[in-house]
Amino acid sequence: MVTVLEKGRISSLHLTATIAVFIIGTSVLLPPARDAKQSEWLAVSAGMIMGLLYNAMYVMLAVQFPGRIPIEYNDIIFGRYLGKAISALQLWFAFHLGSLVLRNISEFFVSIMPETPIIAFAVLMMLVCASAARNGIETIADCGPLIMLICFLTLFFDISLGMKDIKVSNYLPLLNMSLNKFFRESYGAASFPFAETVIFLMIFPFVKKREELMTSTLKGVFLGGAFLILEIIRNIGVLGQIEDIYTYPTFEAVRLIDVANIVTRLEIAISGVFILTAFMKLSALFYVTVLGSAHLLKMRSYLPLVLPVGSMMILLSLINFDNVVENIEFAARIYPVYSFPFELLIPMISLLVAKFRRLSINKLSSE
Amino acid sequence: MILLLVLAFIGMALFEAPGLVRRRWWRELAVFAATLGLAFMLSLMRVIGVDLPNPNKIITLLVHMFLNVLPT
Repeated sequence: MVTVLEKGRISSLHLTATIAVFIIGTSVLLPPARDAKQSEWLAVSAGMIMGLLYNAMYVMLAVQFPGRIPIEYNDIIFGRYLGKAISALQLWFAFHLGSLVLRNISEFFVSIMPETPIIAFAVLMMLVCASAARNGIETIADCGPLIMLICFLTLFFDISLGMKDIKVSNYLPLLNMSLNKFFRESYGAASFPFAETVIFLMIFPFVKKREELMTSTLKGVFLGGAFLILEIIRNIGVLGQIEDIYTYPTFEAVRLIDVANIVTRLEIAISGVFILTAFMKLSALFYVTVLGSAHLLKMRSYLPLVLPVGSMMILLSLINFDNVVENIEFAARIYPVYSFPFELLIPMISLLVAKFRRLSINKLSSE
Repeated sequence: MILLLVLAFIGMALFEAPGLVRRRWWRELAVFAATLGLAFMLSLMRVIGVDLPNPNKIITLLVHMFLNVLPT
C-alpha cells in the first residue's frame, strides 16, 4: 500500500498550483516550439489544447485505481514481469527528466556567473530539492500556491512595464508555414511541458477530494499554459525575429525593460521565477522517482533512497550535454519522440486495458 | 577533488545509516548501501576522467533508428 510510504494528503488547490508551477518550470526558461518563430504562441496554444486532452486521460486512469500509484497497478495491467519493466521505464523517465531540469537551471546560473563551475549550482539546487523530497508531498505542494502567486505578480509587472517596447508588426506574418510543420511544433509543445504532468499519476492518489481531481488538474494545466503563452506573446512582441536566436528569450526580453533609466535590470526578478519554478519541478520529479523506486524495491520508507538517487541525478545532469546548443537541439528534435511512449502510449494502453477488462481496485486487493 | 568526493559520500552514509541500523531495517540498509555504492563508483569514474556512456546519445541513436526522417 502506498499509504505506508507517504502519509501526507494534499488539497485540490495545492494540486492546481503545483501543476501550474510544474508546467511553468524550465519551459519559461527555454520556451517550446521555437521553430514556429512569430507564430510560436499559436503553436503553444494548440499544444496546450493537446495537453488538456492528455491530462484528462491521466485523470481518467487515476480514477480507475483510486489511492494507488502506477507502480502498483502496472503489475495487474501488464502482468508481473512486464509490469515491473514498465514501472522501471516510467521511473527512468522521471529520473532522466529530473536530470534535464537540473541541467537546464544550473546552465542558466552559469550563463549569469560564467566563472563558477556548473557542479556548484547543481549540488546546491539538488540539496534543496532533496530536503523538500525528504519532507514529503505535503511540503512540496504547500509551496505551490505561494510560488504561483509570485509567478503571476512578476508576469503582471513584467508585461505592464515592457508594454511600450512591443511592436505589433513583430507578430506578422502569422502562420507562414506548412500545416505539417505547425502540427509538429504544437506536438513538441504538448510533449514539453504540458504532457510531462504524466508523473502526477504518482501524486494524484494523495489528493483529498477525488471528485475534484479532473477540474483541479485541468485548471492547473490551463493556468500554467496561460502564463507560458502570455510570456511568449510578450517575448515575440519585444524581441521580434531575433527571439529564437537567444538562448533565454524571456530573460532577454525582461532585460530590455527600461522606464526612465530608473526601473531597469529587472531580469533578476524573472530569474527568481525561473529558480522557484525549477525548484518545484525538480522536487516533484525527484520525489516521484524516489517514492516509485522505494515501492518497486518493496522498501518500508523512501527516505534512504533520497541521497544516493540525488547524487546520481547530479552526475547524470553533468554528463547529459556538452553545451547548451546540444541541450536545445535535444529538446526540440529528440525529446518529442523519446517522450511519446511514456506520455501517451503507456497511459493510453493502461487506460484501455483497465476499461475493457474492467480491472479496478477490487481486483488489486484480491490478488 | 577525490578527497572531497569521498568526504561527501562518507557524510551521506553517516547521515542515513545509523537510523536504519537502529530500526533494524536490513533490507533498506542493503538498498541504501548498493545505490550509494553505485553512485560513488560512477562519480569516482567521472572524477578520475573515465568517459561514462551518455544516455542522451543512446536515446538519440534509438530515436534516429526508429525514425529516419529526422535530420542527423
